[in-house]
Amino acid sequence: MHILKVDTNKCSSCRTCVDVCFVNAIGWEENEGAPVLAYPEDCQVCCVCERGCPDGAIEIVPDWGGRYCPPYLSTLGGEGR
Amino acid sequence: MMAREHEERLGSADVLILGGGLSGLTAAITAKETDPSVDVLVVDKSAASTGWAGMGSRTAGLLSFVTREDDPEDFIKYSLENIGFYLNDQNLLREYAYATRMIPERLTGWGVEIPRDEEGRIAYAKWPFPFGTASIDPDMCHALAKKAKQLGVRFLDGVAVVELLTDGEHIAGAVGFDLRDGSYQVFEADAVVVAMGSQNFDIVEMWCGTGNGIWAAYLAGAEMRNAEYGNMCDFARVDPRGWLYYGVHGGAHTAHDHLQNAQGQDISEKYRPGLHTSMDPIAALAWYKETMAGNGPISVDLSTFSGEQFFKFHPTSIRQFDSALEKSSYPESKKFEVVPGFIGEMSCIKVDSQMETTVSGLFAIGNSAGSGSARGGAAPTPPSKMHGMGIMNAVFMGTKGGPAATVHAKAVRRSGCGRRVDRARVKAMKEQILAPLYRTRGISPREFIPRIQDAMAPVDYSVVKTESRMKEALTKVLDAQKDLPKLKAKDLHELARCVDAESMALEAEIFYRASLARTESRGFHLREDFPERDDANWLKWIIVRKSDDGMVLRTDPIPIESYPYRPGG
Repeated sequence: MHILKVDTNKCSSCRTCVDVCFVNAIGWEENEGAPVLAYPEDCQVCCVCERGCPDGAIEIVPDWGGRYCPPYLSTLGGEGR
Repeated sequence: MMAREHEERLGSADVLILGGGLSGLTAAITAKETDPSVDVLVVDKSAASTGWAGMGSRTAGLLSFVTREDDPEDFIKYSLENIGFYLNDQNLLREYAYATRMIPERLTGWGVEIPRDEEGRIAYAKWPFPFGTASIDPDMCHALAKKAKQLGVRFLDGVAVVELLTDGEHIAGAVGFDLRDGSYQVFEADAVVVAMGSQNFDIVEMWCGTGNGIWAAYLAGAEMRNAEYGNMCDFARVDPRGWLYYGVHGGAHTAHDHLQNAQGQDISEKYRPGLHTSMDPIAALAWYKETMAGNGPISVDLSTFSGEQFFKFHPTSIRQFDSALEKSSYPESKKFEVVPGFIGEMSCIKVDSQMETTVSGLFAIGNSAGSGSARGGAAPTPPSKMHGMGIMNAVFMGTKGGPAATVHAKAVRRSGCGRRVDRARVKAMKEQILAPLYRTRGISPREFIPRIQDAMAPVDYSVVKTESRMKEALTKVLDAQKDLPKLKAKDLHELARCVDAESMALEAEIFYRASLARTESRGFHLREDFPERDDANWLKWIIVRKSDDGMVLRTDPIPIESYPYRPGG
């Protein structure tokens, strides 16, 4: 699963990243006062959240092998390649 | 908590714009420019008010247009002969050709950054085709959202609009839910503009539109057109470890021009010789034929690229590309295998030249109605086969739909025939929309959606078509549809994914039924069993609509005799 890493020393809790995400994949952890990738399976790895963070506090770490790629030929199974 | 306990909130507007991405914001601005007193409300699932909604910030930042060096008639002829294949509304195409010359300056006037040359004119690269391309700030929606707010446009972020409300044959509003607190949202409006993007079946990253607007419009009775053209595809890079990098993460944007089979033969040149503006299904056919003939794997060899770069991207675009490539972890290699990556770009809401659908007062723009407008002909929503025409098309349709919706709202107000919202229907819809939250057993949208993706993604189902393979795919879709009443959602985000699942299931069916009906090949609709273009029988649009008896199809003749250009001159 894709991961959102947060440097809590840098994060100012502005919540810009929550707004930036156009698929609403980023949520907010109130106890930490920091963002969390609440729906990693919806993350598009567009990384606009990284770009939009005014504190440079977040990083998306993709897990390419962990996401579903549907078959590109009908003669193959549904396992990706 | 039960559905009836969700708070109900009522909103109203003269013009209700569903979707606050590029086309929605353009419609909002031009609505206000048409009449500052019109009340415009933009509703979006994400933060449209600050310019983050839609695909804008995730694009390459290309803006193509008919330049001062080009003759618009040459652009029209090129489009008809190479992309649209006479399935175009030629009047709208002509209007577009001329409008593209004015839109860059209009965007600049709204605060969008488009780099200029030393003489202060919009800078562009001129191609060996009748158009050129400027670079544009991908974060254009920030400027547009700011402009919209300055003009008095209201925004409601974080709300998923699910269905439309009608009063007889007229639009009356919409319903949905707040993604944060689950409140049921009811909107009354004199005009509604659907700007909710295309259907891409959520396969390729960033082309993640799930066609909610198309679904809502279909259920409200709006007709669909050119649904068989929802099959844009490109190439994905294969990682030797077994996964794929789609789109910008794969760096295979021009793979279609540089395909090699296992013997090192240039199959791009073999199947589609000459210059092309961009990807088309012939490149997918090349991959498919060579693979089926045992000549795979198909690769791209970057060392054959000229390396010459004469297009200057906007700095934000470059940051986007660098960021995307940095996140990809494929081994460094000049030569890599590619396979088709299905994108979709299904955009079939039928609209006229004013962007009005067949439901009075319901308008549709941008990627929701790109193909449905018939401006581009036998192709998915722009950009289809012309890079940079995606942004241009979204803005063009917005500049038409916004004013038209405003004028319509004014007429409704003037006539005194305010649309009535059926309260009983609104209550029934509330129960239905929120029901997945209260099912104790069922299937999640995450289990459901791959079943539709599996029916759309295979290139031999959706791009290189045959009757038997399409029927096989359609059977999968129809089987999956039987499980729609079992969808359950663990939270509000997943409830929105249930709406995505419904949209995908319907639109996959529309795609295959329309594709089966067109017994010829034309543009992006490519059939192995009907490989030739049949102008004698198929200068027609396929129309799909909902009736009391289910989904019905018919054909409408293209008024080719009234157009200046016809096949064969």
